[in-house]
Amino acid sequence: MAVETQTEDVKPVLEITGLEKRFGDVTALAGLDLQVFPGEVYGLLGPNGAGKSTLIGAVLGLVRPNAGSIEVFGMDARHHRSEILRRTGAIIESPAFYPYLGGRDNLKVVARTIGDVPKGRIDEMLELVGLRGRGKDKAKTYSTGMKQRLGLASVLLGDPDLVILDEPTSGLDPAGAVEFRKLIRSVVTDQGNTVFVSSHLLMEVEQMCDRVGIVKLGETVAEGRLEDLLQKGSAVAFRVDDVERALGLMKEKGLQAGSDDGDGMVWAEISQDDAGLLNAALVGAGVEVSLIGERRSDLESFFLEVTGDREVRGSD
Amino acid sequence: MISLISAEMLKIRKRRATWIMFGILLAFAAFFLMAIRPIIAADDGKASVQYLAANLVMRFPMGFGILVRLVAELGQFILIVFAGLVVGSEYGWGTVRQVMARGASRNRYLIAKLSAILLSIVIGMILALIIGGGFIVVGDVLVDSLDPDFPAGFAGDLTGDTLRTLGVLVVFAALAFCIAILTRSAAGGLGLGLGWVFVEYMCTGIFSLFGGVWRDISGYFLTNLSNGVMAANHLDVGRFFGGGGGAGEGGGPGDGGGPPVFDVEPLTAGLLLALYVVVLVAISVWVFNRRDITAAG
Repeated sequence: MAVETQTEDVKPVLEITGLEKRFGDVTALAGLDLQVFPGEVYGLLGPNGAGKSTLIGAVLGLVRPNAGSIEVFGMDARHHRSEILRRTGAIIESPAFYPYLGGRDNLKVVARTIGDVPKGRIDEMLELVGLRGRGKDKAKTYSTGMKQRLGLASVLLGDPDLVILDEPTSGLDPAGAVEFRKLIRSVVTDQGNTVFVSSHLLMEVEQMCDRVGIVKLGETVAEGRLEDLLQKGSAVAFRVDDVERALGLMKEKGLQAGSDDGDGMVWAEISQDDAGLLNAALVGAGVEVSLIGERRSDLESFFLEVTGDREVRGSD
Repeated sequence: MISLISAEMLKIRKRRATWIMFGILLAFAAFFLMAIRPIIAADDGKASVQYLAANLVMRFPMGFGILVRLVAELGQFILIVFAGLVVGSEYGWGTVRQVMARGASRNRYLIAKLSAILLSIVIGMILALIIGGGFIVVGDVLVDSLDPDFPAGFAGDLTGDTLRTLGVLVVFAALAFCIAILTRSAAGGLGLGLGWVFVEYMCTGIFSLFGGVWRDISGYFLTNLSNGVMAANHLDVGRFFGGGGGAGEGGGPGDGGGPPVFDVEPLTAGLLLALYVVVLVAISVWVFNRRDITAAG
């Protein structure tokens, strides 16, 4: 597993170690590890059925794990659930509301459930998510986008330190999704919250998140800063006259190498500093090199590489 | 806890179904207490036996006996639907997960829910007595017989009858509450809750035919224990017709007439009903605490 820990001496807001959960014979989580640090947007990426919602359920105390530990704000989630959830706001799967209540009344219910919500906070949140004018309308008349925004308002009502959003743009049209992502980013920028987002949308995670964890079949298969993860998959590309010979030479040197179909390009996972040496070796072996460049990996290729799963969507 | 209960009360108060169910109760009360009396008076004249009987039990203030009995009988069904909806809908809408994710402990959530249901029953009962009292007065006015005559101990009798009725209603609310949690659905809560009552009625009839121990067993059904408790009501209609009501007036349980009353004393019936409530709530709490709250509820 490619797990990178933050080098700075910062305590994680959320730390999960060896988490396991089984539903009968089905293993939803199989020893999952991850760390979320203060002030970041962390993206948990995984195909449908990877265990993302189960993980969130476990963090929120809705699902009881069979093994492993969950620490939130340095407290054990099993023994300090109420204290943790007082500082946490979450939407699981999709925001759920009382359809017969207006948006404002739904937030009133949330405020009374949380307790200690300052007067005026409901209006402030409705304003923030752009629903001030629709606060009296029944939730059942809201569009999917409005429900998502009301969901975010309900999450932020208690001014949480940690915001957990499960598939936050699910069901939104592309424009709504873009708008909602901006809103989530602004939450971090303006209010300083830590945000944990689960998604199966690569583009969403790439656009919103500072750090990423990739899960497959209930296990973390990669974790780290997005740039670092992508850097890992980066390579130097050469345009050559003899692809077979160039690849043979690279493999002789023990390099991870490959070729892109039909354009005379070969690549090797080496640092840019070593590109000159490899170029000299290729030329020395009689391979003509006409171009050298960086071949950056994208999240989709990295995701496919670590999960071995082709059934993912690159965008919504 | 107070704020959790107030959140539950807000949900109940703003829900149209709450007022529809209360409206159904009031409609029945209006029919029996206001609409029937003028019909009887007009058809048979004020000297008829029917008019005299109606004037005896339906006039103000004795008509409260009918009102309380009506609330007890119809209220059982209404409360099964009400409690089933209040608890079960949270699963259907997925709101139970959101509430739990906001830090409410499972026990506190259930206590708040149950408290709100109990509070609603009490408020509904008080409103039914006030509005129903108005219906009785209107019924009197419509047949020109408004002449209030409060018998000695009326306030105490009405209070006692009301409390017994409340106790009976709580059991049926607890039944639907428990089933809705077990089935994680509103349809389950109210469907199986109503089904339970109908099965009890059917079994009571069948077991009565067998007699002996079978009849004794059916005496411990919820519906029959409820009748046992209600038999102790002092303003009950049955006492005016030599029926099973009015244990305090010497009617005694098991003396026939009205709904079947078995050989379980009102106090014993009340204690057994309390035990039913404790068991139903305990099962609800145990199951709710043990289960994962997943997408399916």
